[in-house]
Amino acid sequence: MTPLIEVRNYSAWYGTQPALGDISLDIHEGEILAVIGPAGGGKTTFLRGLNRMNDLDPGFRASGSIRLHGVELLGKDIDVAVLRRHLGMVFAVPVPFPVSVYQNLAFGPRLNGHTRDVEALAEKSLKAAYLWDEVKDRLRQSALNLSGGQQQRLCLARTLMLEPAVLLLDEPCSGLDPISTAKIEEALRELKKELTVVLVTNNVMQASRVADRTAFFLQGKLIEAGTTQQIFMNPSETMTHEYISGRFG
Amino acid sequence: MAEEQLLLRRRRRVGEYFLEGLIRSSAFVVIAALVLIFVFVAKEAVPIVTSAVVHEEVTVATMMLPQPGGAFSWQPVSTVPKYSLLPLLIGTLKVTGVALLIALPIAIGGAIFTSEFAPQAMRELIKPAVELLAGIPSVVVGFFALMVLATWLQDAFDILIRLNAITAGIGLALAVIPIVYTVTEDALSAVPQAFRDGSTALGADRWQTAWRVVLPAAMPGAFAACVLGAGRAIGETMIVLMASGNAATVSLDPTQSFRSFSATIAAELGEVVQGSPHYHVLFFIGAFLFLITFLMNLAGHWYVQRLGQKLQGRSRLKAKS
Repeated sequence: MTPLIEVRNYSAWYGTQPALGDISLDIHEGEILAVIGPAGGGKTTFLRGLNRMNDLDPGFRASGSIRLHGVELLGKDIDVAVLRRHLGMVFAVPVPFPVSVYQNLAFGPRLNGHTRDVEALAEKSLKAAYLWDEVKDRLRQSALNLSGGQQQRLCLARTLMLEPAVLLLDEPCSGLDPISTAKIEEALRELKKELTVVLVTNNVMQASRVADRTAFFLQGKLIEAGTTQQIFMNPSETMTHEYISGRFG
Repeated sequence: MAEEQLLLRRRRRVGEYFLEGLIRSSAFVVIAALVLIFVFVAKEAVPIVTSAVVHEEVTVATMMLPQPGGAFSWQPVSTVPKYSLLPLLIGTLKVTGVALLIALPIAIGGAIFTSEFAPQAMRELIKPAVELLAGIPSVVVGFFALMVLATWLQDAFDILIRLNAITAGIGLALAVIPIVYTVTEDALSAVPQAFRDGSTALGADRWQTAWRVVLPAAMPGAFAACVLGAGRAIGETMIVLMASGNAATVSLDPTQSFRSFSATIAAELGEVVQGSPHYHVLFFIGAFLFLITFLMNLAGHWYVQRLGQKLQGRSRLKAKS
């Protein structure tokens, strides 16, 4: 089976500061891949490299290759707007726009001039994000009236409005309470039936709960990647074992 | 040991008390000055309404209504003094309109460019440069409008009258642009980067992000900037005095000379007989200007707060879309 995304010898720098060195990793269709590792290890840089959000950072440079369905994503001729709709991203801090819940959801479709079926899609996305029951009567209210956990699920639903093939999540539960976290994890388990998820997380337990495969990043290097079971039960590197068992982090 | 600390603490508190009093009283001085200015202007304007002597020459009604023969004239020093406010009101609105029409798009467009599109180095150059423009004395801007701009415009558009609302309006715009620009730019730059990231990640390009996310989020600040700019335009005196031609015409044509409220006060108050009806009319105009800007600021403040509440989600949003 050919992987959905093939990352080969991907390196990245901020100015002269190396952020990632020679990453090679496969992401398979329909899986949840967790990316774990201590802070500053390049997890977020890796994630933002996949949908080229890094392009916005001044002084950012990358080399190597990232292929999606065999198409090179780092090429100059790639329409990054289309790419970012294809690989939807959710950030660590929920950033609902200061408009109504519904307008937040409609933002993505409207960018492309889609106005048909937005309501139906909104309902579907909210249900997929486990938020529908809580907001179905408040769609016209400001999104800022929602709680933090609800805001993050709204951001997830807003990304799902783009109908992406891949979902990139950058520590989506870092500021959330356990119940909101559980709802997002539940949503991810359902979502992987339809799409592929890359989940950057600081929470090792979260990776073990939801991920099919796990990759361990340390100081800009990919130490190892494998099935979650293998990484947690029988890691081949001692560093991985030490990180997972909480000796450093 | 403990006693020494106690003494030290006591001494510092006396100093704090003294400083706090100083700061407090300077705040009160500012407010008192404002109130006293208003009281003085109002006191000199009141005889228009109350004094029988003044009423022999002018009343509030004769300032508003057409004069015998149907004219609206401002001729305060003719043998039969005429005090119609209409030409002054039209002149003021005309030049303010022209100035804002020119200044607001340029200032807001410039602010969007600097905050959202310009590279860092260019931004650090443009912003101080525009802010420097605010420091140019308005008499210099007026001089430029009077001597240079008027000739250019006359040659370019074949206008009959050199000094008109377009000339003065452009001069006025030069004074308004830096204010609107710098306040709007601050508001745009204060929008969190996370909004831009969120919008970009949803597939928006830079222009869509600026237009649909950053500008709406900065709306209260941008609106406040416009109100500030409009207030400056209405009250600005020197540029208008120099470049307007000062003819009190009743015409909406921007290529005609005109006379504004502020320029009228500046031109005539130095010559007027103190306590005369004319003197009181000028103060009445001053009070009127004060009222206009005050109401505008109040309305602006109210609207900005409402917008802010909407953005922070404290009030219900009206159903839209």
